Amino acid sequence: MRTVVLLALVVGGCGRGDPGISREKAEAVLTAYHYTDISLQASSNGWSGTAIPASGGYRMNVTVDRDGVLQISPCACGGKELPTQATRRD
Amino acid sequence: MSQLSITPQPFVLAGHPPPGSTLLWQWQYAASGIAASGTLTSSSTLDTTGHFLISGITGSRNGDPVVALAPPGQAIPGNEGFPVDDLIGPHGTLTGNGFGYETASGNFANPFFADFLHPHTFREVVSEPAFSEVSIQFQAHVVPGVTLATAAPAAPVDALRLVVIDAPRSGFLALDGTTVQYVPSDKEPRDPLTFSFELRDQTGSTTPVVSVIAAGDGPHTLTGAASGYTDISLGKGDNTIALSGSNNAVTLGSGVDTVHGGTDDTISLAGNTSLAIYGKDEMVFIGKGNVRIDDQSIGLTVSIGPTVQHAVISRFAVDRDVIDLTGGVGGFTDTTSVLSALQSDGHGGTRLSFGNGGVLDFAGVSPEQLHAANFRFG
Repeated sequence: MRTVVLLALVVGGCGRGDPGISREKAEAVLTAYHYTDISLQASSNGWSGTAIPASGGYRMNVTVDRDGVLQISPCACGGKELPTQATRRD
Repeated sequence: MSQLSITPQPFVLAGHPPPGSTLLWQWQYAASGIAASGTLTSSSTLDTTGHFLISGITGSRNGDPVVALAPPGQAIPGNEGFPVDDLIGPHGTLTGNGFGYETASGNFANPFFADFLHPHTFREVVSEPAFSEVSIQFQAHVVPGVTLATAAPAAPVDALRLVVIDAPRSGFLALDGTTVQYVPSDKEPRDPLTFSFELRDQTGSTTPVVSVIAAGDGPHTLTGAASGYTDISLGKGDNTIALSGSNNAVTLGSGVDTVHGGTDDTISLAGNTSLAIYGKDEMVFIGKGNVRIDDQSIGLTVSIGPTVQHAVISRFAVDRDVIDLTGGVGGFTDTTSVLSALQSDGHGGTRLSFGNGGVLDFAGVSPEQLHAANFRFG
């Protein structure tokens, strides 16, 4: 019985839902890169979801992996923010 | 078919980006039925018009992957007479020429700023499905952090993954498009900060490992990785660096430094520096400051930035060394103008003035010995 419980804990610890780092750490990485409106879900590869650059812009796909490395890619998830930059020439 | 490759970039953890380094931008624009976004890489030094030169692009337009940047001076198909200049302003603004790109489907697009319209607006010219021009909402901003390396995928649409070999003890690494970015949490580390990474594509191919060393004021004596691709950033002090392999990048603050280079290395001088350079096909960027370069390498290229003060090069090899004046430094845009501006320095050498107090002195090389092949303009 004790062996079964231990085995279940080991399997659970390495399962698909274990991101390897805390949500706070993942959000700290995104904050360091000036992302806001962060939405993350745990996965076996870390924390994945979307976020928006604080300076404005589209929502991006983001993954903070188990090493705390941020991977950014364009997001076809809609929800884009309209640019707010004034149209002016330098 | 090309191979996945990576190029370490000069960097400093704090302060202005060093000469020769790269800025990473996120760009996007939208209009009815149009949504485009991605990354740009650009020079980190403003040219004489107050813009950065875009050197790379990633992203997509309506889901169509961007595969290439249109070269400056060329118009996209169907828009002849209006060449792109690939310039971007410090606040993410574009000129009336804008930048251009090609997508995987063979389409071409050219976002630009139309100051001839009232009110002024960003516009996009596109080649397919039919040539059209519409107003867009455009935005670009610099990504926080310092750029450590830029990659070129084997195929432009390949997605890359950043694999950390040795993690930094502090700070945050990111891969955005094809660029590796780092946000330090300690901008003046007392002990050298070292870490390494590689990029991997979907087929499992990997780049060479990039080894990063960042340290504050010296002196330092450092040895790069045997395989090359070492990216070193040092503060003030007298440093001796031995590099191996190829494609290393070294950033040096003020001091008396010696770099025993490998091949195709990039050396960025970010202060008042006296540099002895060895190696083959080395590239030295000069920014702000008074610089002396003792060229003991084979095939040196020296890139002069617009804020150069007084640079002296000794042992300049007229048969193979090159001065890069890309960006219109001194107002020179062709060999005729630069050759006619060469003057004797009165000591057997040659003086080239850039008009803003900046001077380049070729010690021991007379004006008659220099020729067109010694100068490059982009």
